[in-house]
Amino acid sequence: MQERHSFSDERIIRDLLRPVTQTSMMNWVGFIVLGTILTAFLFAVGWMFYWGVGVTGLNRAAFWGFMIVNFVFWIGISHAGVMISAILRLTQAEWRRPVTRAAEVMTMFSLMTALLFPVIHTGRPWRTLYWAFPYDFWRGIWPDVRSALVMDPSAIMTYLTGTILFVYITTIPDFALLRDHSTGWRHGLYRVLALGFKGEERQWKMQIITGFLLAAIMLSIFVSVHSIVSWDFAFSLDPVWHSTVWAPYFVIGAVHSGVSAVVTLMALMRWMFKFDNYIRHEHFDAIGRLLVVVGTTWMWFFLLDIFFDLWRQDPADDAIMHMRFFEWPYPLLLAFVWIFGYFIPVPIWAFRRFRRNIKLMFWTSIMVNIGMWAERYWLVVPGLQAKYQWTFSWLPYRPGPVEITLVVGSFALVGFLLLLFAKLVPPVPVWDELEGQHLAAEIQVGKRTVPAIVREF
Amino acid sequence: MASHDITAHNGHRSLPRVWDLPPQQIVSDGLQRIRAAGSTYRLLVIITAILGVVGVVALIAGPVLSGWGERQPWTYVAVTFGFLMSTVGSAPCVSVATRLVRGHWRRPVNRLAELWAAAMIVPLILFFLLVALLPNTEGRPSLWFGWWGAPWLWDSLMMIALVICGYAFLYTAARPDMAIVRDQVDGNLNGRFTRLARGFRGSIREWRTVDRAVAYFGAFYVLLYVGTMTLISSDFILALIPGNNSAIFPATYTVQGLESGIALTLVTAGVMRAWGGARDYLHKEQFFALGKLQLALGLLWFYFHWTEFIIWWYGRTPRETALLRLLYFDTYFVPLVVAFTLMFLAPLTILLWNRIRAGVVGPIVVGALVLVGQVFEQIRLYSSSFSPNNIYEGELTVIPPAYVPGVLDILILVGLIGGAVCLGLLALRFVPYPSIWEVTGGLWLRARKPFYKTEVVVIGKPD
Amino acid sequence: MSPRWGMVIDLDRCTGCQACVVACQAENNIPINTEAVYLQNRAIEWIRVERYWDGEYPNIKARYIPVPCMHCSNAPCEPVCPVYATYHTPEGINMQVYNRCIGTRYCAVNCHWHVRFFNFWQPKWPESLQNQLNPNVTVRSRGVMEKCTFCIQRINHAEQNARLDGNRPLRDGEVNTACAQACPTRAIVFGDLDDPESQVAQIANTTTRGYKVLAELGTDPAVLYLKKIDPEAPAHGGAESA
Repeated sequence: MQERHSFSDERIIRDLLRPVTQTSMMNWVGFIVLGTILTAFLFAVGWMFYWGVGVTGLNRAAFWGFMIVNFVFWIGISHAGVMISAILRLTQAEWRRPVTRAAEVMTMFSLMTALLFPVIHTGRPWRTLYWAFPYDFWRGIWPDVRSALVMDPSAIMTYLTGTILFVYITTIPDFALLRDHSTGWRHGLYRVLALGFKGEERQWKMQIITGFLLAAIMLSIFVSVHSIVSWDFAFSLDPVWHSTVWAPYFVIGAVHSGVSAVVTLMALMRWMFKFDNYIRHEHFDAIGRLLVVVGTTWMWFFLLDIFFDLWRQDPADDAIMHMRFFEWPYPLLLAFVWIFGYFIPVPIWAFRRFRRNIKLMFWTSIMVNIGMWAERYWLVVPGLQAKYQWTFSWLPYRPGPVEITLVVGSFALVGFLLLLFAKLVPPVPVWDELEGQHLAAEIQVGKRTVPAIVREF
Repeated sequence: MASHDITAHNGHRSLPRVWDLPPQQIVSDGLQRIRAAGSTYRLLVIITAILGVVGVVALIAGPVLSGWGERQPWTYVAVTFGFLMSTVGSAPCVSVATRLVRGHWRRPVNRLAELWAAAMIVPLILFFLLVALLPNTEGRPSLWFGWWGAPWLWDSLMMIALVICGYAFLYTAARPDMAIVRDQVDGNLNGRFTRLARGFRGSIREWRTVDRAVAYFGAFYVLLYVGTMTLISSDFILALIPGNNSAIFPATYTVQGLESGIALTLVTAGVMRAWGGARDYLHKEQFFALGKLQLALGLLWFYFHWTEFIIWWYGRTPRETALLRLLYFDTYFVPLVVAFTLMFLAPLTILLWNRIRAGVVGPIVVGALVLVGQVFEQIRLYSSSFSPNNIYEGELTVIPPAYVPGVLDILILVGLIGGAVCLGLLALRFVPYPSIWEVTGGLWLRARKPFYKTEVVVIGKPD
Repeated sequence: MSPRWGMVIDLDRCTGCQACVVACQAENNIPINTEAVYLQNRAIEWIRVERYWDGEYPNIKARYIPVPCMHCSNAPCEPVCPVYATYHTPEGINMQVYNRCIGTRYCAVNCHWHVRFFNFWQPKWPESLQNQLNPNVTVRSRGVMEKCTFCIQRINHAEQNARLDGNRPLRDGEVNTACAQACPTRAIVFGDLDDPESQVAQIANTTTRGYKVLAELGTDPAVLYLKKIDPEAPAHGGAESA
């Protein structure tokens, strides 16, 4: 059942602006802890720049390791935003309302974090940046568009631009609200950001239509970004990587991982900002149902990938698969993928009672992301370690402390940016909630009163 | 149906209902086709039945008489089988999907999609004929790695489970309506529907069971459908083309099935609206929603196709180049272009425009185009896999020439599809359209409400 | 007509002495591989000799295979470099442009012969060895990819001389890679595959023992290997066996 509130507009505004106006103890603790880890992250990056990629655990077989796995993981998380915002907005699902901004903003920050890694993992990162900005058009040498590594930043930057625009457009009414409720430098900042939004009919119309258009455009980007990231690997003739299923497999895995991350965020927002009335059990119920479908689809693609890796019964393929199933550390990672990624969370989510238990949803969503990180590793690294019949050149890979710091630091970076964002912009969209309240209605059916929604068409 | 108040209340105000049809009208519309068959309907049934017979005769005269030694004579039997699995087999999935997202517009449309489950017996029979062509999986690439009984036992179990689940799904969703018909008619019809309804009385517990059974059979059907299409695509297509280890292909095959299921639902809805007297039930709303789904799945199908192509293109090994020549650029180039145009370009370029998508004709036309394109896609796939390839090799060393269908092949295709349509039409004599209990149920949950300066629809969301 | 450079490596003659590896290191300013670097699995050897054990005790034999860059015509490493730091010259050499390389290592990931190397550390030579560096070859910095170039500096030098010498074509034997030059058993033969008079072309066109490693990938390598003759196999028509 739905537990809707019927609060006054003022109450809703006050509640939802609280993260911006007040900073709780939990907030401060978050800033300090994450800030510390972030400092370690920056130090690790500097260390690697100074001494060279040699400080990592990479070697002559595993040229790509933790950093690229992390890159794929964060691109994966970024798919949550589009799933929740665009698709649910286009299908007019009511339960998206409290969740959409947090999902979109997480997309934005995880994309930025993800983009860091292909840059810092290159041998000459200063040259990488200097190659792109400014681009030397006058030598007549263009980037090689055949390379998935050129399609990658194009797609990701497009997605990032679209996401930033989308977040901005959907926040304009809230910026206007904040402008009207603030003083001092904040007032000036919000006045600029609100672009003169006064809530007139014409302005609302433009805002809503733009939101819809962007949502529709983002859908094709959402599919193409992670497909292109998957093609970084699948275009290669590496036996594990060269599989036709990788594009949609990565996309659905990204949705699985990203939507689980949204669940984590929902629970954290509810606890940190005391949003019990806004992020309700029904939202966890709805998102849990979505996750069951997404998770099961992901498992189907995962099985397709494995079976078809073994299909040709080719000795080179079979040798790598043997390593992936039976040689340390891959059996452990595979266990993480299966058990944490699917066989614990999804059966739990099949039951309404458990979907409405927020602690359970929180922990299962974290489990999923542990499993999905392990899955990316399980996909990327084995193919490099045991390529074809050069057993003399089969080499193990062990991540170094620098890489581990970078991975942990990336989580801290995203968390820190999210907390910072919540200080400037209300994490639950105020205008969306107000609209939801106004569109809520009730219908009498026989003896029962059924909650209802107003539909414009 | 108990008598009821056609107004609803929002707080203290009454809301007039949206459907201007009283429930009695819906019941009588549902009974109409059961009571008496119109002349158009009769004609259609006769024509499609004749086509079905022609198809069976051609099937016996051609492939059956040539025996199970060679695959190639059975190509168009496989094409028909694939087509039916992708359209008739997938239509119930469309019904499940619309239930899952709880769209209020789905109520008049569900039944049309579910009805096609009645025709599932045709692909089942074709399946048994075709599965006898497959050799043991030992020594050749397959999903089964030489398991006992593979592929015949497991594929058969899956198909049988799918068909049974499909019929169960249709029956469970239709049973309350059969009870309604039983209560409203006398004589022979009463006897028939008493047996069909099996004592359904409409108690609260029975309704809850209906809800749950429909949900579970539906979910199970989707899982079985995905599984069946995975097995069919691997055993009948991938395993029979040497060197084809395309992991995405089962997914592509399933997605084109779903795309065609929506197309079939659209075309059926169009036919019912134009000639079936269902104009009151199938409004713009239904076609708008289905049109969006059709566009989305057309794009998805193209995406899956593209990922297969681009991986082979970048790989450029001799094995992949041979596959590209067979399936894309050389041998079956023409069916590919037709399928690509009708199943992707047409939905994209036509349904992109808001005005067309918001109309009725656009989505129906696109549905019909997709169905035609689907035939060519199946032709491309099965003609290549049923060519005389050496399936024990790891690579396609000789690209077989294109198989051109003979008269018997065309008769099999057209005839058996006609036969399946006949079964779908006949189902209308047993299962009322519109779905009385669902459409009337939807009535309860809709109302109009004045909203500031305009009037809006209010949809009840019980959960 | 421009030459098409290629190589034949006769595994029947290779003794695994690694003279080719040392010569290549000296010729091409390859960083010194210390024990630490070997333990980190990052040793740079533009041509490496792989050793495989064949058979069961007491009949164990060591099999050697020198692996330089294959200079594939259809190289998988070329289309993947975002900055075009690797490309195919008209003479059939897969070239690496060190200045453009930003070190994404995608080319190395895509090379299935493991013949591409990355400078994980800044290469250092002790003061005394710096005079030994070949002035005709770039000294690479850290973060840059490198690999066998078929001693392009020697090819360029010879071609320049031939141009100055009245624009004549190169003669067979005028250009030799360091590894071929150093090989004591002449297992490695280098030359112009398009010159029917050259030794490499004659071997490539007449041998029955020739095969290309990972030929099924369709990359068309320019290095042809000659299978080792197994002395214990029954002779048939020339004592050459599989």
